[in-house]
Amino acid sequence: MVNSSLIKELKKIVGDDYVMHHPDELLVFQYDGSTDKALPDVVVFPKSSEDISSIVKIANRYDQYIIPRGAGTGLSGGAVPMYGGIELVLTRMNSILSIDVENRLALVEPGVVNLDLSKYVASMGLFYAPDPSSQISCTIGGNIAENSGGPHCLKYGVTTNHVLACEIVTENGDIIWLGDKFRNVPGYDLLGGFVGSEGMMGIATKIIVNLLPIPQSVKTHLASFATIDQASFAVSSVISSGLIPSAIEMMDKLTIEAVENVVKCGYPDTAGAVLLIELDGSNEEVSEQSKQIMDICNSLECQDISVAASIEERNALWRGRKGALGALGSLAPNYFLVDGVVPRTKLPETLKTISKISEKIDLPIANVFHAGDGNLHPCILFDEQEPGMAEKVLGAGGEILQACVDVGGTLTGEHGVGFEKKEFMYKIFSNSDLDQMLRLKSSFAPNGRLNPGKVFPGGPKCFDMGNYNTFRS
Amino acid sequence: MGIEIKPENTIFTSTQMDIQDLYKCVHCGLCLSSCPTYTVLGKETDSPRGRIAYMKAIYEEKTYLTPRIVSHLDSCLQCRACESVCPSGVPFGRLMEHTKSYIVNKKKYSFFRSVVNKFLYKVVFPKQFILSLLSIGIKVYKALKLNKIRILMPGFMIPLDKMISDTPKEVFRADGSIFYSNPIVKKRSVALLSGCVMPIVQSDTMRATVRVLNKNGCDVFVPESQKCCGALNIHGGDLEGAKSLAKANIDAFIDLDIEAIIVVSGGCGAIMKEYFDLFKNDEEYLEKAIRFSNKVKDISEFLIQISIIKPENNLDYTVTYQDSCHLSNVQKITSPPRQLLEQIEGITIVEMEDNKCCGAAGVYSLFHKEMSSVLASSKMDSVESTRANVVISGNPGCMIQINGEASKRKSPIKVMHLVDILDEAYSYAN
Repeated sequence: MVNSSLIKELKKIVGDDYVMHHPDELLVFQYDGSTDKALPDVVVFPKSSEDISSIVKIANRYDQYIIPRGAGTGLSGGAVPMYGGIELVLTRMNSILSIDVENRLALVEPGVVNLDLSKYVASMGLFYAPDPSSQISCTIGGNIAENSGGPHCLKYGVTTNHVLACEIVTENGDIIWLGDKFRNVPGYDLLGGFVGSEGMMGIATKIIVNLLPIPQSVKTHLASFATIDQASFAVSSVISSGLIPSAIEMMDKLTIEAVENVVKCGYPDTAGAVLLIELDGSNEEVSEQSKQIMDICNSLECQDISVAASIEERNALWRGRKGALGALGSLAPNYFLVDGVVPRTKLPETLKTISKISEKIDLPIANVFHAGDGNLHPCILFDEQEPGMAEKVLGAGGEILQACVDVGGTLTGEHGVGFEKKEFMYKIFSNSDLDQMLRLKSSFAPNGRLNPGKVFPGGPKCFDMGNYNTFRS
Repeated sequence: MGIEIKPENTIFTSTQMDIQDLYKCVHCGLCLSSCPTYTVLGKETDSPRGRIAYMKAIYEEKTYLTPRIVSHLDSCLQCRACESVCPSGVPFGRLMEHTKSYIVNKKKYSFFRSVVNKFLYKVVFPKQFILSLLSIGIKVYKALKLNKIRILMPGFMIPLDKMISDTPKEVFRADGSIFYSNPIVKKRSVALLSGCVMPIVQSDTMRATVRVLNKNGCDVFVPESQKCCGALNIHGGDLEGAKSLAKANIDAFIDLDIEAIIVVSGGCGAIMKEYFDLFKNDEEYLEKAIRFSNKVKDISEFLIQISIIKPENNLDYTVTYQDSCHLSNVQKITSPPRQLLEQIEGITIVEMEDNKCCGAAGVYSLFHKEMSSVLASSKMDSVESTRANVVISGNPGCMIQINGEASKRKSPIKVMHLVDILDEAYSYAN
């Protein structure tokens, strides 16, 4: 529990308006975009690195956990305060501090909304590549914590490939820099370890990201197939032909139905699966590759393949894809989103296993995913109000992840481990692997005060300080 | 979908909220950055997702309407920008209307607020004669040149003074007049909603509407028995009051042999297209309301539909178009006004970068001065960065708000209704 002198000290730093501690108000800070829920004890909205440094020092004195939060759109419970504590909401730190057009760099605060950065630099002919589906709301800071991806990561890579440096506040309140404006930094690449550390190693307070020139030409194809198998095969064929589209996204029949219910963006209702295949680059390159894509899809008996003729059409196609998860809300009150990765060639096999799991638990599972990366997003549709549902769904989620791991895949493509998947870490890491990871984390945050209970299996404290080999044997 | 509707739970059921709507929200958070209050404050408490979480928590009896929760719910502008981006199709506007009604039923507003609410919703909007008194008041104010007395002019009075000094002399009366069109072109018949505030403070716009419609071959009938549309009642949680206004309007227009009911205010049009939401349990009026709503047309969508005569005059203006929230987010009308502007020779259209709510939002500015003025100011920044000399809008609230902000900044920018600029482009007098 928090006491009133802690509140007083926090208010002194950020002002009365930016500290919330009444139970009624805290209700809306217990969730993010995932299914996990837990209440914080107090919520603080800092404005600067110095604010955060002071707050961290206070937390140390009062022995409080600190849980950083951006927009709260995460999908693995990363921003949910599982063990209470001080929730540190970074939305007020949303300034784009400077743009270096010539070197294509941006210095931003963590609360900047992902899409706002791309909009801001568009007039300079630049964009920020990582594009999570929640990019209209999610923040760059949150993207760094979860090492977020998005549809276009097939060509451009995930967040870690676009972050050059971070100013962070450490667990003891120090303000330090990791990385530099240059690609190569002398010494160890600590930034590489920090990106994706889910707020457990420090709080990013200033970020230098890499920007890319907006491609000359973009073509978005909508290809529909009778079965998901055929569509999966098309994905493998496109990739093995040597083409690197900027995105290949797949949606199955159930997802198409949900999207057309709500967003209405012109996906064919006769298809068993659709692919969105996007190419970008120079005009010649794109039209040449577009022909190849058409040929491949046609040779694989696709029902139809078309190219978006205008920006409006292209936006409509993407609106459907980016709104797909929310649209599933029109089919059932809740969904549980699994974020597994499999080798592309194993897509058909894994999708079959998923459909078997769906039959077994008697719940629909919709598939909408980054097919080019083999990054699956099966969504189990359910109603949390029905008794026993939570265990059933979590069980099925586990089975799906197991299926991914069994064919040589992994646990997460872009959503992070968070609270949700930490127990699955054993499936892909040995105890020694986890120990080593934990030692790195502990060198930054030895007291486990930052975002406790995430990523590593077990409780908030003991394992943080412990030794997996000892505990597991 | 197995959400258990608890019959014994009277929360919201008194307002007939459809509880299933609440559970359509999957808290994905995509709505956040569309919300003006979230964008200003950066707080989940004042976001669409947060407000729905409060509604759910109240329905599930995990909390109740505490003063803090009331203030977060009440800070919503009801601009419905969140609906446009919601991938789950949550009807947020409807949820909020019921929630406001619930706040009123539970008497959770302050005494002052309740009295003002009652006065506005029970006396001012439903009864046109009060508005006539207002127009007399405006005349007195002008005649006595009260704005020259400095002590009466603190900063917050500037926008109001601007509105008053712009008010035309003659009101536009809904007195059953028929305005006949130029007989050369094919005849059409339409009826016009005169509204409550517009016939007084923007009566010139009403007359311009008649001229523009006449010019394009439409006879315009202005039924006498029509009333205020009830939008402000609904937004303020007075669903019963809104129902009786809606009934009066349905009765006034439903049997007319007309092609369309023309509305020149985005807010009025939006609510009139949703009248049927009020009559879920009233079969007689439900059917009529659906027929009524189908006939309601915003002036811009109607003019595009009938394809207008090309305006003769060349107007040398750089304009920017302000999307009224209820025109764009609810009626989904964004391109017709722009298409009409493009038909006027000489006009250059420059788009604003950010088209969020201007903060007028009906009577919102009365109770949430601070938020309203932050939004007005950021709207004015967007307007000024276009370097336009005219702002066009299709909603009186936005016009008054932007005009007020402009006069605060002593900006020379002119605010016009879409119909005003069309009228100017048509008329030879100018």
